[in-house]
Amino acid sequence: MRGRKILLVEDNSSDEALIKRVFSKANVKNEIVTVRDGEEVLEYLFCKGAYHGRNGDDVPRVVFLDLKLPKVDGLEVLKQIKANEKTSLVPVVILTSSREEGDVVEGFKRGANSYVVKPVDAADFNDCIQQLALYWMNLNEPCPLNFWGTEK
Amino acid sequence: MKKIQLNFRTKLGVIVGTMTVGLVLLIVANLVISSNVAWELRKIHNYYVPLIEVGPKLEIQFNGVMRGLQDAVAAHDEEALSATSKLNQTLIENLEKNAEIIYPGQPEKLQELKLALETNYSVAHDVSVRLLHNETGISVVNAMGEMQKVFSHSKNLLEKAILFDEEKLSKAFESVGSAQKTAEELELIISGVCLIIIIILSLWIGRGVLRSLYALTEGFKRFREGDFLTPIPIESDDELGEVAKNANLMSSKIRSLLAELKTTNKELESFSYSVAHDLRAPLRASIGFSNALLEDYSSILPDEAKKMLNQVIISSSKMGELINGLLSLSRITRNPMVVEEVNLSAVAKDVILTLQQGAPERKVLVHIEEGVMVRGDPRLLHVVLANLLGNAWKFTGKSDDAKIDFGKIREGDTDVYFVRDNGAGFDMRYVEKLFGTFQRLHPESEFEGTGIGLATVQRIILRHHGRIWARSEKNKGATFFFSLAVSEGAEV
Repeated sequence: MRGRKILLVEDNSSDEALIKRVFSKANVKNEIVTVRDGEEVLEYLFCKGAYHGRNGDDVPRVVFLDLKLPKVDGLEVLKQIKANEKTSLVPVVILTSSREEGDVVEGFKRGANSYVVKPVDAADFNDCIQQLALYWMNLNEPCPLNFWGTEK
Repeated sequence: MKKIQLNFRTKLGVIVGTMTVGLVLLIVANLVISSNVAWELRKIHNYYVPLIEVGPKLEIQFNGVMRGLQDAVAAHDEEALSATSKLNQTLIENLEKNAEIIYPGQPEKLQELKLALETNYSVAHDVSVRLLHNETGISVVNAMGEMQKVFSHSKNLLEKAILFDEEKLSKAFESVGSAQKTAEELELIISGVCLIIIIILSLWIGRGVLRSLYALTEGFKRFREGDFLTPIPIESDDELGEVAKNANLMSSKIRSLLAELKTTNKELESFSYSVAHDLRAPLRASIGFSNALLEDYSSILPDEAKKMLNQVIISSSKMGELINGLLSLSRITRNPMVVEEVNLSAVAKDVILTLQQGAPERKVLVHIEEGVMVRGDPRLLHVVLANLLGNAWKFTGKSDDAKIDFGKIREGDTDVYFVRDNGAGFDMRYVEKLFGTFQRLHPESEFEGTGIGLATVQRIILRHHGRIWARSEKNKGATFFFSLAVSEGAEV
């Protein structure tokens, strides 16, 4: 049983590879779905465009969201996730390089569940991702699907 | 109705003009009236004064003629009788001489009086002669009756002619008085009208000035508070209106400059955002993958390769630090200043404490002057002292009797703060480069650093309208001086 998927929104393939490496080292078995721009996130979540026909009830357990994304920017994506009934209870963890105060404030205003600045130092980065994997995949109790995701 | 718009020069001109015209009118009226009064008075003088003299004289002469006739008859004196003719002649002559006094411009009346007097005399003379010759009878009685009639007629005329007419005189004086009264009234009216015009004009001008000044005051207050969107209303077309117009032009210029500045700042912000995001990610990748190689393939990598990978990691980390420095530098320039009272001595102590905790093995003799108070942004001033004291700490790292001083001196009328050390110092030939971004005066192998610290410090001092400079001698330590001149509400 691999459990619900993890949605990783990351346009940087290096970061994607590094994050996936840490997750796999941390023994996270859940499938990590990677999308590379803002539009794709929305299409994936709301089963549109390239993801037409995807089962919309298959909501991710957690979304790791980069802010600076091609096409639709991260804060806009966040807003739409939180505005949609089906996805509003998915925890969204902003994982970004920006520690700009404006981004932090705006992120929380729009309902982010956590705001994590990617450490510059690679070792710190590894630690950070490892802790995220531990916390969000082991400690954090997700909201049961049948209470919201399946409800019409 | 079109509002009349005049400038102050014109308005003042109107006031001065009104005053001048009023004054001239007053003078002219005064002249006209006083000459009128004088003329009336002269008339009175010319008419009544001689009459007072001449009247009684004529009456006496007239009576003299009649008495002469009576006396001559009583004395039966023919000679005296004929002498009266001369008296009457004198009377007539006197009458003619004073004709202009008695009957000014009335020759027919004079003729009437003359005739009456002559008739009177001839009749009286005739009767006197008959009486003198002792004539009696009804004809004499008739003649005497005729004489009585003629006498009363002539006497009546004479009395009337020389009558001192009080009513006329008082009327004349009355006319003088009324002329004077008219003059006073006229003067009152003229000065009143002028006064009213002047008051109305002054009020008009005053109101305009007050309105314009009020609008200007309010407008400038708004400008001071940073509201450049609301222009000053143009209350008038005069000089103050011109001031308001120019102030509005200035404010719109400031507004466009501010908008430009905002755009520039926005661009800068997005630039630093890009720096933060885009420059860090590749660094993390190169370090991350180097680490991953070292971890995952440690067993098959030769030592030389591992060394090289470590170099990659060190260089990349270094670049990360540089990026952080640049970001903090740009943040310092961008964020608004919060100006308050700051105890620099306390900040310095705090910084030294942190430095000492970071290197507990070091023995540094630190002296911090007590109670150095300044006005400035506490966060930024902390950055200043952290950098200056940090540098002092760093560059005394190789000496055994390290000394660091912080204090205040007075230079002219400015307070100057200083951080002094007895460390490595620097070559004064390169003092110009000291505050430049990425400028370093020591090799990194000797003293580590990014070359951003002093550039940051200088930016902060400049934002506080202050100055920073340094003095040093190689291997004898360095002293950094700075002044602050931030005023209330000042924002850079």
